[in-house]
Amino acid sequence: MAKILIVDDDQTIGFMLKDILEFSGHEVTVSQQPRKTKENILKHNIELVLLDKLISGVDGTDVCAELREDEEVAKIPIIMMSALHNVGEVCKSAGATEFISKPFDMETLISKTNEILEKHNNKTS
Amino acid sequence: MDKDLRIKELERELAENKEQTESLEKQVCSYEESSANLKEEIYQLKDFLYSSTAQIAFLKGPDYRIEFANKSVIKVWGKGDDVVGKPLFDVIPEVRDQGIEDYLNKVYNSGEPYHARALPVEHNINGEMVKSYFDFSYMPHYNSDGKIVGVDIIAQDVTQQAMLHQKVRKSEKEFRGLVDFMPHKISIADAEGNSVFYNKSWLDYTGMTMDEFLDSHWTQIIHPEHVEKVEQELAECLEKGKDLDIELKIKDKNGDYKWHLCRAIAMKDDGITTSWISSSTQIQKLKEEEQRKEDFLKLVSHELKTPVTSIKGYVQLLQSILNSEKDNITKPYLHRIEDQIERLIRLISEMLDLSRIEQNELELHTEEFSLNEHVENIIEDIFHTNKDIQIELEHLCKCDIVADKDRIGQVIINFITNALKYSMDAKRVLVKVFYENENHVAVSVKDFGIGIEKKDLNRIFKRFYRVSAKNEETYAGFGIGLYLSNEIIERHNGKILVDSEPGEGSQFTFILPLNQN
Repeated sequence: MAKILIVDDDQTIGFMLKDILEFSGHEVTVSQQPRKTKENILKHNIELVLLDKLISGVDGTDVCAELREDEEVAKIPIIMMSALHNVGEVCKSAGATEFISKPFDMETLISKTNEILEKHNNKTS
Repeated sequence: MDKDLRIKELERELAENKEQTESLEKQVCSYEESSANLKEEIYQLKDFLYSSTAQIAFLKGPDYRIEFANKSVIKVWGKGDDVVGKPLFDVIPEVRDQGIEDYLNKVYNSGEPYHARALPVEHNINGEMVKSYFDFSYMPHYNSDGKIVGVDIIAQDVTQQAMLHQKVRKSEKEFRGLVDFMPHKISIADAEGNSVFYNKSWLDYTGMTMDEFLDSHWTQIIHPEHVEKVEQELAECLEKGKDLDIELKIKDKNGDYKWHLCRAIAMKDDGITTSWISSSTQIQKLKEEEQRKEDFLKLVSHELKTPVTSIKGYVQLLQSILNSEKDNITKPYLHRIEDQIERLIRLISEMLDLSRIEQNELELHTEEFSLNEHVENIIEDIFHTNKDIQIELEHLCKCDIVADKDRIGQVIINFITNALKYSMDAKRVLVKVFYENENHVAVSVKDFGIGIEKKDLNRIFKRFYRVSAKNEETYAGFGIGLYLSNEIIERHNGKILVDSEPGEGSQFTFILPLNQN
């Protein structure tokens, strides 16, 4: 079980992800405000971020790059998501740990999330 | 001896005289021959002058008596061979006041030759004045004492060339008028690509005079990010004589850059480029439309994929739950799936409606229903999915109408969802049903959101138009909701009114006639 933050401007997507991840045992916070991502990470002791590529006109890659440059949160794993298929490389070069294109499999989401969390915990422990 | 000597002397003298006589005889023969030759030459020369296509006349004395006039000049005058010996102005009095007498006097008195090009002269030919153009030479005629005794005229009829020249000038004037009248920007450049002409549209666009424009370098009016590309293409075109076809931004007189489609073609003579003609057409609006269309298509894929993602997620979640538990907690999830399916259907039907409108196929299925109840039901539905909103409904009248219930519902949903979407944090919406007047009923939806800038008010009903808030934030949706609403209301013979103040909020009202007939 881990504390996960979902940043997506689409409420239904946010809550769907929350439902799925909660079902698989995680504690989930949903945010529609990309600019408050760092604040939310610290406030809720977040261990993994699911970040949409385009949130209310803000480019998720910018948010991702900013987090990567911020020592306080730089090491947190970030999974970026987009309805556009061909932006995986852009997201990864911005510092995303993983990229998932929408629509995605629930199995993929859960397995990737758990895989990344496991790797991260091994590194930090 | 003396006698003999004398005889011998006489004999010698005789022989000498004989020789002299023979020589003289020979000489006379030779002179006679020369004289005959000369006569022949003079005859040939006169014949040559007489039959020359140039107009030739020799005039003698101060009254310009015609000494010689060739066939050509007689024809131009419209007379016969009897003109010889008569004063010029007795033969062709009509030219006296056309400046001819002055020119002749000048030459006769000063000895200075006079030349003129394409001089118009009118001759009276059988009572009709005929205008012709001539290249003239008037030359003083000297006698053996070096005294001026007359004037020689050599002229060439250039009427055809002059008419052609006039035609060319007229044609050029017409083309220049055409080129200036066109909204397209037309320019002409020499073989090396240096501009030599810009039409009025160019001058109006740049705000420069012809000289200013010709003196300036073209790179000054091209957007910096296009200069390199244009230079490359232009160099290639100049080198290979191939046509230019390029889209670029050009600066107008206010310093704004607008998209243009620029084309240039090489004018060639025997395969060698002699000049370039170019036309630039403003395509700014087209570019904006293209951009909007592209944005729209991107949005379509994004917007359609989002609910699909959601549906797919829940379906999978439900499947997992159903596999592990026998529980009735599946209900809320099923409900959410239902919502998403609804949303997907709405988006897709909007797309269909759009194409229907464009093909003029939007049909109305009218029925009588209570407008109040319809509004109430719609608000209830919206509450169902949005718990954190506040919608206040006020019935100022009770009204049944005949209309397409679903379509009117679509408009009410559009108004309310827009109001909520642009309300930011304060999700408070006031809905009123009231009589606009005795023949019209109205529904208004008021929000306290971001409002609409005045400049955007007439654009919000255009398809694909979406309002941007501060920080360029955009709002979800296709940007066709209001376009559709407007079409629906117009087809009910009604109208939509907008009242908005940026930062204060907006009020959208639709008004429908009570009697649809």
